[in-house]
Amino acid sequence: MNWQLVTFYILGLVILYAAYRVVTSAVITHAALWLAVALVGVAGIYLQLQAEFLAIIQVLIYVGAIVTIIIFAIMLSPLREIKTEEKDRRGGATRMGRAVASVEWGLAPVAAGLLFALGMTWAYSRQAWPVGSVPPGLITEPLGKSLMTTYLLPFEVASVLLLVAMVGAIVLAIRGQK
Amino acid sequence: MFGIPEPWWSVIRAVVWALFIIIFLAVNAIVAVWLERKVSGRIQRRIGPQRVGRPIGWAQTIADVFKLLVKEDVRAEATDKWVFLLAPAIPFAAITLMFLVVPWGKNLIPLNLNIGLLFVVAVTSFEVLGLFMAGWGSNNKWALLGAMRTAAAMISYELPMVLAILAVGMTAGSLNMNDVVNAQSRVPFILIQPVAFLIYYIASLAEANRTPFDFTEAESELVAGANIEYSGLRWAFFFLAEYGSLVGTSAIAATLFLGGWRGPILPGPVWFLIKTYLLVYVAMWIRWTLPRVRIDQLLDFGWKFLLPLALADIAVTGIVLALL
Repeated sequence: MNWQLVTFYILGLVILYAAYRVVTSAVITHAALWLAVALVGVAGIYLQLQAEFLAIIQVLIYVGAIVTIIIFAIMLSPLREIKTEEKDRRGGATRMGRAVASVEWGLAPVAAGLLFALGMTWAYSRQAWPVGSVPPGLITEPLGKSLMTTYLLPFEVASVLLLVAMVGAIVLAIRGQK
Repeated sequence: MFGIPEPWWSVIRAVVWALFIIIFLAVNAIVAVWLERKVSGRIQRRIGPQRVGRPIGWAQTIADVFKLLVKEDVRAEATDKWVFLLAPAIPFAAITLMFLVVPWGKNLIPLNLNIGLLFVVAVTSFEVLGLFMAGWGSNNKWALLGAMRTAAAMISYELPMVLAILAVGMTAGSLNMNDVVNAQSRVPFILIQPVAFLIYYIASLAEANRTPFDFTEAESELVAGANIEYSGLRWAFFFLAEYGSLVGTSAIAATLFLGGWRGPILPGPVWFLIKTYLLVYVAMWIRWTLPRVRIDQLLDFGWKFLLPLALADIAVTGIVLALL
C-alpha cells in the first residue's frame, strides 16, 4: 500500500468537495469557510511535494490573510445575517433521501469530485504533464535568491500591481463617502 | 531505538509530544488563571483566592475546571449549527500547532522545521478564523461585534509581528528555531534587537487579546465578545486557547529574544519555563495596570506607529548586516 498515494487521494477529495461547496453554498459565509478548507488542503499537497515553504506561505497568505479579509468584508455588509430556516421535521428516511439527493451538499459534490479526480488521474497516467524529480533539501534559499536576481523584474511588477489595486480601492472608498 | 523499528518510533514520538503539548496547555491554563487572580489581587491591594486550598488558594482553579466540565453545553436554536459547534476547536488547534516548533532544550524540539519562524506566523494567523466562526455562528450582535474587532486587530497587528520576527531571522541568519537559540549563545537578541522585541511584545499582547488590547471581549462594552453564547466545555476551549495564546507568544518571545533554553547551571527546560513565565507575569502586570484603549486608537497605533517602526527596524538591520 502506497501511503503517499492514499493521503494524496484523501487530500484531493477534501479539496474538491470543499471547492464544490464554495460554489454551491447558499450562505456566503459558509462559502468563505469552505474556501479556507480547500486552501488548507492545497497546502497539504504542497507538503507532500516537500515544498514546506510554499505550504506555510499558502496558509499564511490565503487562509490567514485573504479568507480573513473576505469574511471581514462579509461582516461589514448586510450579507452577514443568518437566515433561520424552517426546520425539516419529516421522518428520518425522507430527510436522509433529501440529503443524499441534494445538489448543494449531498452525494453530488462527492461524485463531481471523484469524476474530476478520475479524469485527472487518467490524464496524468497518459503523461500529459511530465514531472522531473525535485532536488531534495531546502527550497527557501534558492527561491529567495531567484526572486531577488532572475525574477526581480516580474516580482517588482507584481508588487506595483498590488499597490495600484490598493490605491484604487482607497479612491473608490473615498468617492463613495461623498 | 529500544528494538522498535523506525517508522513506529517516529509515530510514538509524535504521539508523546502531542499529548505533552495538550497536557501542558491544560495545566498552564489552571496555573495561569490562579496566577492571574493572585497578581490582580496583589495589584489591587486584595488577597485574592485563599479559601479553596489554603493558604494560597491553589485549588480554586481546579474546582473551576470541574465546574466547567459538568456544565450543560447549550446551543441556541437560531445559531448556525456546524459553524457554532466547530468554532472552539480552531483557536485551540492553532495554539497546539504553534508549540510544535518551540525548543524546550538542546535537541528537545517536537519538530525541527527549517522554517520554524514562518510556521509560527502561519498557524497563529488562522486562529482568528475560529473567533470569526464563533462570532458569526452565534447569531448574536455582541458576538459579531467582538469577532469583527478581533479581525481588525489581527490584520493590523499581524504585520508588525511578522516584521519583528523577520528582523530576528535576519540577525540569526536562519528561520530555524534551534539556530535562532544557538545564535544567542553569547548575547540574547533582546540586547541586539530591543526595538523588535518591543514591537513583538506589544503585538503579541494584541494577538492574545490582553488588556490594554482586550477590546474583543471588553466586558464593560460587549458583555463577553465572540464567545458570549458558549457554555461549559466549549467555552472552556476558548478560555484554554486564550491562556495558551498568552503562554505561546511568551514562549516564542523567550525563544527569539531571551535566549530560549540557554542559561547557566539549571537544565534547559527549567530556564525555558522561567523565561516564559516571566513574560507571562509581565503581561499580567500590564493588564492590571493599564486601562483598555479604544479600538480606533489601537488600529491607529498599529498602522501608523508600529508598522513604520517595524519597517525601519528591518531597514536598519539590513544595512548593519550588509556593512558588517
